[in-house]
Amino acid sequence: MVKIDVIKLNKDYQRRHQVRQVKEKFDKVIDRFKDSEYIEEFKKCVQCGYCRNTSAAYHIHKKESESHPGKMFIIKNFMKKDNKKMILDTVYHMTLAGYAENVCPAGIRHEFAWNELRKDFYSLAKETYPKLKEALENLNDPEKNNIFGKKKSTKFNWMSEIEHRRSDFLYYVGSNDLLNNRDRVRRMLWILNKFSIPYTISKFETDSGYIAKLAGDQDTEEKCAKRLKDLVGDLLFKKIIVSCPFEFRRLRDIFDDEHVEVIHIMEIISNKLKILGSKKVRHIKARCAYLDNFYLSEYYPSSMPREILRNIGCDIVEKSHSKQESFSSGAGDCFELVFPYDAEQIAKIHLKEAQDAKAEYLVTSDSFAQKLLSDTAKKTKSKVKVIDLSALVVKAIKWAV
Amino acid sequence: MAEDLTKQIDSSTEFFDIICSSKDCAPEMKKKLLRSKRASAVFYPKNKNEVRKILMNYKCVIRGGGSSYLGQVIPDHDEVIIDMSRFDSVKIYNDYAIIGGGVPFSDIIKKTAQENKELKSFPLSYRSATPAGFLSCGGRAGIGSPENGYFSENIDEIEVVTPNSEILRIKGTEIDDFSGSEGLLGAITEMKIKIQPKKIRHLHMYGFDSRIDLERFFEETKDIRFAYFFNKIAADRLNDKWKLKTVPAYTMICQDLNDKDDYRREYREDLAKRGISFIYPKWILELESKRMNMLDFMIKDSRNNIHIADGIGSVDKTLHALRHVEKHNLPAYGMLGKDEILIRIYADCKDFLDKQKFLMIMDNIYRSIEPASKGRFFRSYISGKDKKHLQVTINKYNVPGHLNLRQNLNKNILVKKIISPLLISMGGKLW
Repeated sequence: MVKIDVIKLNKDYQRRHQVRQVKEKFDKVIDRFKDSEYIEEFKKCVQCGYCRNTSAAYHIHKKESESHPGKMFIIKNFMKKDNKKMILDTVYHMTLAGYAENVCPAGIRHEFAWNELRKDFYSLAKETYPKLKEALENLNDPEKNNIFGKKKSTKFNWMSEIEHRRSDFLYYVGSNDLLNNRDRVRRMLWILNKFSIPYTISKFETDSGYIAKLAGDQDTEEKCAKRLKDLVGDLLFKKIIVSCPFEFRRLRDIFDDEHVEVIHIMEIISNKLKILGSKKVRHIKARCAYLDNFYLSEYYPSSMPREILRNIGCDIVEKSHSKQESFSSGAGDCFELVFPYDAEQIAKIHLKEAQDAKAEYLVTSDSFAQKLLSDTAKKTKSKVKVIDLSALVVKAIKWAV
Repeated sequence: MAEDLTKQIDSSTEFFDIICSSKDCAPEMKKKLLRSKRASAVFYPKNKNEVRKILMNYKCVIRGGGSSYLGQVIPDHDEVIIDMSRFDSVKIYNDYAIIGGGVPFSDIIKKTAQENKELKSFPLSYRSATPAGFLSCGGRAGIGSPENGYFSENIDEIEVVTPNSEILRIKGTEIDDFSGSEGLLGAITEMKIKIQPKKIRHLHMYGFDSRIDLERFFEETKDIRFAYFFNKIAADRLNDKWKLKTVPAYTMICQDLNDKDDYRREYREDLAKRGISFIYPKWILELESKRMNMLDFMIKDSRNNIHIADGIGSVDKTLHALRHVEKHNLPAYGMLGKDEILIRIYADCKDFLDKQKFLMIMDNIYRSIEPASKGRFFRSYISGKDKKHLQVTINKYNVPGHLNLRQNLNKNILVKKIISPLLISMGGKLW
């Protein structure tokens, strides 16, 4: 008869149990992503490819690994702690424009998923991409507080020449326009004055930190949000007018729970032009293609900028990728910071599409995109002129009664 | 020894490029069959001469849009992939368009729309599928097929680079030979397809209190192009979302009933006289005013309502759809999917279709699938132990849209037009 060594069996069982416990803990550490909510979003993807054309990076080389479905596949199957370096480019070599959400039949929250994922990758990204690190250090520097590395004091040192009224409305200009595109700010202020919109410009304006959000830098993002909340709360502003789509989206997120309304200047222009009527406006007879911005199209219908253009007498032509199925300009996002050459390639594609549609002007509402596209147009000697929507509006209503 | 073309032609041997192009079919399929299979390189040729060189030197798998659920073009023996995405030219002429083999249908649709034209037929997976890929993978019917025939019937000419380095221009009925060939006969680099002046599509939504009303509606209406069905659950959801005033027992949306407004008004009045209740809510009118394609609407709304529309073969979101259908008990028809290839035809035989006729069709399906099994992956499912999973379930109160719409047609047409796309998509043969 076989004797059963109960003590030995018990020991074996305990040892196996301990090993299992250790293994479970180890697995948890290794694959901590698996517990994340956003990973579920990646798992939903069935690689139908509907969103392929909305991936800006895909249009450069037409490689599947650079498209949204390809990236989703990579994240789903290869995201482990050891592979972080391997898939870092997959996470950052893309724009976070959420056009993919418009066409996704599986209802994946693309923007949310990628944003959350970048939080996990941020520390590694900072080490790997020096330009991103520099930009965010500049943002954190109290003397600079912008990603361009320019001194904070230069933001408003030219402001004395501009008259502004005091009101409950804050015109939040944004660091990019204040430092790099002052003509645009002048135009915006001119438009606000022309339409008799009261506004205040605060010289204590701080950066909204949208780039920190896009890069996954949670600390900086929160700090920036807090500073802005304090500013708006202290001065009791009820409404914020924004002219940059990135800032618009960021401010919408920040003041989501507060009783502060955030509107884009496009809304004001659209409403006022309707009241003004097309007869009182000088007609600009030009064929224009509009470059959609996801952050604006999320809150305003894509027809709104087109209506504005129509009201000032422009002929609208559509690029082959436009409206809901457009793709990002490649500008403004940290994509441009990290991969400037590729951002230029995307700009080239947009210009080519506009040229194919026989457009004279490629109109944007985004100053980042305007800069990138106009620089690229100059380099490539493109026939298409890149222009800001506000510039066309100013041209049209300058002589209006 | 084969010439190394990786330096001459744009290509990639990076792991992620290869893996992303090698694993196009749905995840469940991948897990079972293709766990360790992948290509050795991906080529991105720009012209037919480059394709010819690659075909002469390597064992190849040709990739279009990568939306095929069954993964007909997935490498399993270290082949190289020819990614056709750079064949993306679209030239529009008066009644035809010359397109590259790798351009997605969505791009063609947009470019034809710019010229006020439209494609005669295209698949439901038009956002990602390419014409050459669709034809090669055996896709036949799609949107517009009931009106204009199979997709292959709307092709005038194709340019094919054959593996023995010939460049052929194929016309007429010979094009059919390439349908379902899965790229084995060559790479389609260019196509000349028919186009027509753009029509304005109208959306209609009708609700019926009883199935008899619905049946009568079908008997009396012969010009319905597409129909989508919602049952009570789905209609309730519609009600929540769109705030409809009345929720009928059966709701159907159909498209392109007729272009003339007067006709529609008369038709509605007619229906009202006959006591058929219908709803025609504001949001439908809004869709009309925006000229929004119903398909766009459907895709947007796919979280709530499942619709496997015209062209069962192009079931690219099958997995997602099937889960929803099962979870929410939504009406669906002609579905294939899940881990074990499972055919489910939901039908209420008593009301809509002669039961014997239906069973005869199902018989044909069985008989055609088993001996044919052209698709190599399908074969491995059908043969062996997985065979038991092939089953047909007939659910009460679920309407097979295709069968229903064509109940006045004879059996042969019914089978040819409706069942064959399903079979081809699974690698079966036409009978």
